[in-house]
Amino acid sequence: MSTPADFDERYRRVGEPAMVRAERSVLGADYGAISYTTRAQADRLARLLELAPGRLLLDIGSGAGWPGIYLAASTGCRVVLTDVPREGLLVAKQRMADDGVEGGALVASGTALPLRDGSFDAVTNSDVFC
Amino acid sequence: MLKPGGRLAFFVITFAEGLTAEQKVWAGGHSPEQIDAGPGYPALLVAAGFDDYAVTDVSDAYAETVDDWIAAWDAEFVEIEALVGVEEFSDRQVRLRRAADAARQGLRRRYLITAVLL
Repeated sequence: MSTPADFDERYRRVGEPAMVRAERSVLGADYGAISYTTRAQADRLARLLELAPGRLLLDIGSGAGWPGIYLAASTGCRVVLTDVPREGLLVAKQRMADDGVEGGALVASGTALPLRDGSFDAVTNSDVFC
Repeated sequence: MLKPGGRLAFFVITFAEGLTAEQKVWAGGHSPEQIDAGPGYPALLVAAGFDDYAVTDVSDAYAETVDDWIAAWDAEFVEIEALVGVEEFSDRQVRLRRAADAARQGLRRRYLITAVLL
């Protein structure tokens, strides 16, 4: 099982050129993810979730922002990212600012989210609730 | 958290039903490690007030993506091994190969699950 220190170390590698090249070649994206959700699958999520400007998406277990930030950037929706490792969310917040994406990032476990019922138009996660 | 009519879409990696503990250890040899929920999601979604759910098996694409990660790290071997260390690099590649094999053998599955909140 990965420890918080493992995640911290992993997120410190985000942006390293070799990691970026590897991620781009596999996923078609560069969000510092080690994910199995490809860009084509993320686009499928956008359609299934009917994301569009004015809608609010929750990405649970977002890591450094893949695919939540991408979904927001590509559809115009707003996004709230949640995860436990703080380091990943710090990377994500910077990426949201760089990409001009509206929303926020929250350190919280998916099993106890401090969010109001009825707040979101769409919810997603990738391989977190297993 | 969802509004009525809100949409849920997520990917999940899980084991095939009926695996022994030994098979699960073999098939689950890489993150995310917490992969023992089984295919019971539709019942859980209905109980939580969701409707119009669908479960799509994307295991073949998952196995291909795992293969792609293995190849991508091998292609960047010198730089990535310097970043993560010899042991982590080797362990990860071994675990991913086992995961891809498990997916091809039907022991490890990835699903796309969608539903709408009533």
